[in-house]
Amino acid sequence: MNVAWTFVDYVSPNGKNLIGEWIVREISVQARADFASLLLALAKVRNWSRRDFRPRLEGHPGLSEIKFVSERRQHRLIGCFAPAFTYVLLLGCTHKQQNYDPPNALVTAQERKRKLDLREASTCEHAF
Amino acid sequence: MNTRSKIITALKDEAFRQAFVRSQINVGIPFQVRALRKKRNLSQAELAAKAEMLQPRIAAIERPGASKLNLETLFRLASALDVGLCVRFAPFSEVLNWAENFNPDSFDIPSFAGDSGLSEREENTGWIASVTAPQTLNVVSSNMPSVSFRITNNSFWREQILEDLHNAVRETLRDPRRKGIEDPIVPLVYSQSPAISTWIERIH
Repeated sequence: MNVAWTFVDYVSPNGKNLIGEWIVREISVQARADFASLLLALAKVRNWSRRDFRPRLEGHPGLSEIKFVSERRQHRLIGCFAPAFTYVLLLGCTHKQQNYDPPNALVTAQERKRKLDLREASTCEHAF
Repeated sequence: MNTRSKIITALKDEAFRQAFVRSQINVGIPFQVRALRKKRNLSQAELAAKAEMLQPRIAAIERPGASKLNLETLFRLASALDVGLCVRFAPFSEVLNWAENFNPDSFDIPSFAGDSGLSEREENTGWIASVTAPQTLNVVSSNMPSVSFRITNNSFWREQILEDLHNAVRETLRDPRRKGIEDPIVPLVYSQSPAISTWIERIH
C-alpha cells in the first residue's frame, strides 16, 4: 500500500506560521530546497530511517526530529506525530556537537506541542 | 494549494529553483543509492568494495547533504550497482515530476541482466503502448488475443496504468473491427502526468 505522509506547520496562537518563517528567514535557500526535497521523499516512506529521523528525544516525551545536513550544517525539525499519517513540524533549528541552536529548542518545541494539545495553537499545511 | 502548486510557486524564485535542482543531487542521489543497495541485499561494506571505496564513504554518500558527489563518484556507484547513469539537462517540470514521483521504498533500477528493455522486440506481434506528454495513453496495433504487460519504469504509475491498459485492450478486442489499429483510440487522462515516455512492453 502506498504511503502518503502529510506535513503540517505549527501556527502560533496569534496566527504566525513559525515553521514557514524559519524556512524563509533563518536558513539558506539551499537548505530550504534540500528540506523540500527531503520531505517529498519522506512523504512516501512508511518507516523513516534513523539516518533521517530520530524517533525519541530523551526527556521530551512525544517529540521527535527530522534531521538533514545542508551546506555542512546540521538542521533539525523537531516535531510530533498526529493521526492519519501526519507529522507536525513544531520548530526548526540547527545542531552542532550535541547542542541545539537555539539552546532552548526542545523546551520551546515541547511548549508548542502543549499549546496544540490544548488547542491554543493550530497547524496549517507545510509551506515549503 | 497542493504540494506541487506550492513548489511551483517557490520555483518562481530563480535562486530557489537552482537550489532545488542541486537538492535532487544532494538529497535524491543518497536516497537512490541506499534504495538500490538494499534491493540488492548489499551491506555498505559490500557496496564499498564493489565501488572501490571505503565503507565510511558509502555511509556518507547515503546521508543527504553529508557528502559532495562528483561525476566520477556517480560513475563508480553506477558501475558497482551495474546500472546506467543519465546526466543531462532537463526542464524544471521534469525535475519536479521526478521529485514528486520518486518513492524510496519502491525505487529500483534493474541491473544489466535484469533489464527487459534490452531484449529483442518482435515487430508487429503485440501491443506496444506509450505514455507521452501531455497526458494520454495511445494503444497502437495488435493482432494478439491475449497479452500481459509490465511497465518497465516509473513504478509509481504501474497499478493505475496496468488497470487502464487492461480495460482498454479488453474493450478493443471485443470489437472485431478493431484488429491492427494504428490510430490512438483510447485517450486516458490522468490527474497528474506520469514521466514522459513510460514504455509498456508485451511480456508474453
